[in-house]
Amino acid sequence: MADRNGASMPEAQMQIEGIGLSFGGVRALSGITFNIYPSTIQAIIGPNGAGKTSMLNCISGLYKPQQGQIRFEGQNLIGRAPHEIARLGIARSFQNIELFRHMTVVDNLMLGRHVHMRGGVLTGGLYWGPGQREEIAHREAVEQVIDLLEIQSIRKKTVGSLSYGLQKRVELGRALAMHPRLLLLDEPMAGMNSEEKEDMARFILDISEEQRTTIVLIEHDMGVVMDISDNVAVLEFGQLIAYGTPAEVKANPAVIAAYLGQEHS
Amino acid sequence: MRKKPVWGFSPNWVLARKLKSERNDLLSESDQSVGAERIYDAETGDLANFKARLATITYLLDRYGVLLLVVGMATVSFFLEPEVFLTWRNVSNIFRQISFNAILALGVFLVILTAGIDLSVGSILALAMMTAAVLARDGYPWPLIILAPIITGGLVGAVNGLGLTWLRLPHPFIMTLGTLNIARGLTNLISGGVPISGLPEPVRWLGAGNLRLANLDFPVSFAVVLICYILVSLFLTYTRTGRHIYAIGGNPQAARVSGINVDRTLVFVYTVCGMFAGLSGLLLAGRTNSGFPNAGVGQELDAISAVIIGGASFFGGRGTVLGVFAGALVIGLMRNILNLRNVPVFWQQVLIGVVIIVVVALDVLRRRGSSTLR
Repeated sequence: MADRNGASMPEAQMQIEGIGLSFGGVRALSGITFNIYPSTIQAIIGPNGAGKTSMLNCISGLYKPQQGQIRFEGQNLIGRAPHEIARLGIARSFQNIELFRHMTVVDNLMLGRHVHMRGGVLTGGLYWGPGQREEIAHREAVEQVIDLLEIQSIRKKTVGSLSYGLQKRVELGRALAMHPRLLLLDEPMAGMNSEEKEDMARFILDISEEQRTTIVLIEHDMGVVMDISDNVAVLEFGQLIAYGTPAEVKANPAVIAAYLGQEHS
Repeated sequence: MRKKPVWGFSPNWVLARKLKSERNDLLSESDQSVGAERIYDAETGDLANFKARLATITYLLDRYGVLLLVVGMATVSFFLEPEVFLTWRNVSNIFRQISFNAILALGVFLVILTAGIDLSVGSILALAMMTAAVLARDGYPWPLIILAPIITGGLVGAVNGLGLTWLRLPHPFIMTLGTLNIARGLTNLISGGVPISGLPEPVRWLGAGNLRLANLDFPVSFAVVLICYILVSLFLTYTRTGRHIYAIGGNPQAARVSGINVDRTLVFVYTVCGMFAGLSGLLLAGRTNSGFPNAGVGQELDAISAVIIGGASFFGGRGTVLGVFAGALVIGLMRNILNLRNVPVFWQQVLIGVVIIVVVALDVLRRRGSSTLR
């Protein structure tokens, strides 16, 4: 395993050990163990219902697995509430877009900045004081995200009025505005045409390269996954059946049988 | 496309001056959502201009439509009763009458912003009112009698919030339906089910007193209303928690993963709502110089009506303090003119029901219209 630049692997940023999750007797995940390395793009693939989204939900605290451990930069995540995990530097997007639909694009991204705002009621009230300086700094961070994702022209539009593709991009922006160290993306390209997919792939690579953000990506488009990811984890029926570089995974007979083969049959 | 209060601490022009890059022109004053649209569509010519103008009208209606309703009703009322309606006595009377509903509605508004509902405010009002009356009967000092109802309301509100978040009840309707009964029962328990009259002078001043302003008697209770509305408006626009309230109503899932402590914010909101209900009970106790166990029965529905007439979305995340204020005024004006015309009180109820349906139906129509424009 090596990252895109061929450098040797540093220590894992996230360690996932023996994760088991069930819903009232239905086993969604069992014994999932793998590492996520800093500044890499980690893909999670698998057929529908394999447990990919459940895995992300365990990481971001929306589900609480019954077995196993998830450690992020040395800190245990199991049992922490979603907002605490967000504050540790883990942001995410959803398969079905989750945005503040009545707010403008800028307001959506600004809410992402709230994890970094110190001010409570008091500083917020100091209109001309440090509150304003802080606000401007956060606004600048938001503008950088807007530039990166090329959504300048829609920054003042209400999110609910935007096209699906743009909403997907804004959702990525909301997560990115948090300046996360780990970014979880659940099917960021679902339902997009090839041009939009290409844009999105470019944004993901930009984020990875410019900000060195670790990215965990669920995606069904094998072409994209093989092109942009450093490591791939393959799930089937809630179990990890393969892990490795795209080339290794592509050559793995179990993966071909379970997933890749189906696509070509 | 309902325009939210301007983000954060600074108006756009302040940011525009401070941000150095070429983004300046994009952030200038013309870049309100309506203006931006005009720039954006400029190349496509007349049609775009027409659309932009329509969008501006829609925006203004959206923002100030309910005020238009207030002005319209006031005009009609004036022509129906030219002798009485615009006298200061009648106007201040309207202010006094809407005071306690306006305060209830303000608390319920915060809850509705989070996509919740609070059915217990009417009972909280009664419990708070009775707390004040019982303490007054037992001879406690007046500062305690002023604080106790608000604290009582806050406690019941906190129970609502904690029940909702800790017990994970499926909907606030259920939790607050429970406390609706609990608070009403407690009201009867502490009073023995009978009215208690007699409150100290400062409490009566709050509920029924007047401030002397330029030869006019201005009701103290309405001054309290104005202060509360201004404070909540500032809070929602300029503080983190205020923005979080809109965010939670807009999308709780997105709020969670954006690092917002949804549970804590909800407990806070229900507590504040309870405190406003308590304050409302205090004002009503002052106004009637008593506490009676059947106070505020069904009042929660009037408060919800004011919020909905004021244009807040029942599904959370959308609404303004100004709208709620106008909504409370609409109900007050309607009651007033119907009283002046000697319309029986039962018809008033029918008409308020009609107004709720018509106002929301118009809102839906307008929204549909504005979405086809885009």
